[in-house]
Amino acid sequence: MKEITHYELRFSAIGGQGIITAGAMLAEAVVQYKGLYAIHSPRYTAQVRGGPTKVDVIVDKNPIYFPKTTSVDYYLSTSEKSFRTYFQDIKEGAIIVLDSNLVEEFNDPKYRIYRIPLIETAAKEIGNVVTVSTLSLAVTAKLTGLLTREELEDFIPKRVPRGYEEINLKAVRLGYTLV
Amino acid sequence: MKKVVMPGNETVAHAAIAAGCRFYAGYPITPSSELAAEMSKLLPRVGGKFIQMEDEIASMAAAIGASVAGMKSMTATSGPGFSLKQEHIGLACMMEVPVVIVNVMRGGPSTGLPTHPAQGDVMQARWGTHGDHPIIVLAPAFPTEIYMETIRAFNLAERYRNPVILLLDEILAHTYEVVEVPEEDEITLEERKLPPSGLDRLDFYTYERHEGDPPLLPNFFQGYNFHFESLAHDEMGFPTTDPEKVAYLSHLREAKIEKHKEKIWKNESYLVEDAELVVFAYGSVARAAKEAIDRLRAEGEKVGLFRPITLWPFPDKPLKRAVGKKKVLVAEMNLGQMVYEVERVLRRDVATLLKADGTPISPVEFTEKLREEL
Repeated sequence: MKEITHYELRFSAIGGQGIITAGAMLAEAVVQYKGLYAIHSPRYTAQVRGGPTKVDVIVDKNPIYFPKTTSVDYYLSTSEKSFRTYFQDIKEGAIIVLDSNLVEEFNDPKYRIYRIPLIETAAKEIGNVVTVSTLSLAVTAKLTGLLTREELEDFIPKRVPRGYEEINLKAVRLGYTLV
Repeated sequence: MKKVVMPGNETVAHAAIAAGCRFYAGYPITPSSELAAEMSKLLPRVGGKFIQMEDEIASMAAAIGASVAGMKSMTATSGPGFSLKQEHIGLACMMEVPVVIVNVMRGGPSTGLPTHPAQGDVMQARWGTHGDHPIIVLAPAFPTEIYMETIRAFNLAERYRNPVILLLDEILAHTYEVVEVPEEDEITLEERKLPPSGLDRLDFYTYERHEGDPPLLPNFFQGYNFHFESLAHDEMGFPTTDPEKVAYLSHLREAKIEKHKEKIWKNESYLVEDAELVVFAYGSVARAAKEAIDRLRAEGEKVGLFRPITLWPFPDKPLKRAVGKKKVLVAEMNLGQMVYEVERVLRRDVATLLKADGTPISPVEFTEKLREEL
């Protein structure tokens, strides 16, 4: 993995989908395994369930001064409305991951776009839609190189609620093979 | 030391517990609500008490009540709630009761911008309650600093027997960041001084002391004959209008903070020494300033930052010492508040970068403004 000096990520979704959790887990894991500094700031609208939400994550080699994103390197979204609402400050060349069932066709040569049926995969192939947090995290880890599969396999069982370890480990494995 | 990722609101809660806080009364309000939620989880685990009161005035009163009974206590709120608490903040100043009040600043006035940051309450923190009164106000800017300043807030409250206000803003309160949580033996806790044993419990002059000292008030329910009073009072705490007695205690209340300013002040001077232009900024705004300063320094521009962590008492001497005759730019998320203090102390006009639209001042805005002023 190339050395990370500064990296900005955004996850947007509909409140309740579990994408905010993916951002939170990512920040915790890079602090724990890479010794990096990380922050994440969730934003909810007044309508917590069913409204557009996003979380911004900043990863840096040094302590982070300004705690807001200014140039996003990676953007994952599982909702058309949220994707559009929070499409700001996306850097040219950024990686964009879209839920292929929930976000409409989006093409722009300025970005590296991946379309993955995240929620459908979590619900049908893994067997529980709540694993979409872990699945998204694994996809992100693979695409950005921020965390290795071994690190995630160590982190996830400790982080998820008891009884959900196995199913989330399945999500990690699948996340790494989807892209 | 262990690294934990948590938002400022939770950081304050964890630090308060570490500082010995065992009572919290509050009325939840965005963007401070997570602080109350976290206290409601943490306090029962350490044998403390959490109570959600019917409003902000009552919760301030409850926090004071717990403190006079001997507990380290805290309440937290935001803008509109802070306005309501002012009445009883004055009561705590008057009765000389240690208590910590957290105000997570959001856009105002009135209900304003509940989910957006601001720094519009810095003057209210100083002068919000009526009448002359001493107050200590702290404004940390970084995650670990929020933890340590929360502990310091409790220590100062206990040491000087006075309310201490901790100011955050929506950004600091809601951003999850890496907090370096110290071990128990890495922090120093202060406890309020109590009257020496063997005193006559029925003839005890509660508020009598040397100039500069806090009063040696006993905690409630210890058998002492004394009185807590919101009216101007004498050395035993009983109401009086005798000008000499009124002046005596009001002077002592001011003096206990004024005489110890040097010990209460805390600030950061960042690349100030050779700077031609110094930014004066506090709280989250100072973080954007630092980023801009680093960028400009990389281009060879001589800029620096003076960041007060103790806002009140105002760090007049440290500011004068750090800045001298250098150019100054005051940046704040309001339409100009601390700038008046800076100009008063430096006795000259300074440049400003002010913003009160619910969005933070970005490093780019800073860089542009600094270039203009250089």
